[in-house]
Amino acid sequence: MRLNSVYGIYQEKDNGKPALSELGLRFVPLDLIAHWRRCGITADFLAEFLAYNFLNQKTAMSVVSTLLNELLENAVKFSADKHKRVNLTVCHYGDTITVETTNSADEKQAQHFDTLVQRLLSVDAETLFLNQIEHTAENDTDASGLGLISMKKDFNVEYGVKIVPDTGSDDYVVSVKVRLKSEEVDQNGN
Amino acid sequence: MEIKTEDYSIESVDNTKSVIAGILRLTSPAAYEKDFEHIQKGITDSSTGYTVDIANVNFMNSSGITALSRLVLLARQGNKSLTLVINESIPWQKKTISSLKKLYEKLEIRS
Repeated sequence: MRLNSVYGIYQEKDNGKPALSELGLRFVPLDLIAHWRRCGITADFLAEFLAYNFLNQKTAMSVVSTLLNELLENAVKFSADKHKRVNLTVCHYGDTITVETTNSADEKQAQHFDTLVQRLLSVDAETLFLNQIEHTAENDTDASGLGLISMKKDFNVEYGVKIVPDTGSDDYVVSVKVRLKSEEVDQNGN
Repeated sequence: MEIKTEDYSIESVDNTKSVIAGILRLTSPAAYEKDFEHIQKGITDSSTGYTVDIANVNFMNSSGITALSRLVLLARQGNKSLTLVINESIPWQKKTISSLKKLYEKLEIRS
C-alpha cells in the first residue's frame, strides 16, 4: 500500500488569515545541484526580503536564511526526479512566517522521510539532535534531517509534512511547511 | 596551511589552533572532510589540546554541523581537549553549538 501521510500543521484547519506578504519561487533541482551556491544565494535573498517584518532584522536575517537554506537544500537534494520542479513559498502573517517546499521523492526516500518526520514530531528535539549526530558519525548518511531537528531545537519551529502519491508515476509529492514565530527570532536579538 | 575559497577560509594558525571564517554551505558532510583534514590531524596529534575558532563563520549548514560534530567525536575518541571559540551574537552558533557540549564533557565552548 502506498504512503499517504499528513502530519503536524497541515492537519490544522485553515484559519482563513490572509498573508501580509507572499513570495514563491520555482527551481529545477538539477540546476541548483550543478550550481550549489544558488541555494545559499536564494536563502539570503528571501531572508532579507522577510527580515523587514522583524524587530531585529540582523537576527531575523540569520535565522531565516539558515531555515530557508536547509529546506531548499533538502528539497533539491532529495528530489527523485532532478528535472521536476521544486516549489518554495514564503509567507508572512504578522506574528509568524511560514516556508513551504514541494518536491518529488521516490518510494525509498518517501519511506525514510516519513519515519524521520514521525520521530521529529514525537521525540524531544535536543535528544534527537544528539542521537542523530552519533548515528551519522557511524553511518555516513546524507539524510540525517539534522537541519530540521536543529530548527526545532533552537527556534521552536512547527512542522507540517505531506507525503502523497504522485498521480501518473510511482513517485511521491513531498510538501514540508515550517512555521516560525516572530517572537522566537526577536527573543534571540542582541 | 590555509584553504581559501570565494565563501570561506580555513587557516591552521599553528599546531594547536585553526580559524574558520565565512559562509560554509557545502553539499554534504563528506564534502567537508578534505577541508577539515588538517584539523582532524591537529586534534589527533595534540598533546595540550586543540582550538577551533568559528567566531567569524556567519553561516554553516547542517552538513557542516555534522562535520564539526565529528571533530568533537574525534576528540572524545582520543580523549583530547578541544575548544570551540564561538560568537554568541550569531544565532546558530549560540544555539546549535552549545548542544555539542553534551557530546563530550572535555569540550570547552567559549566566546
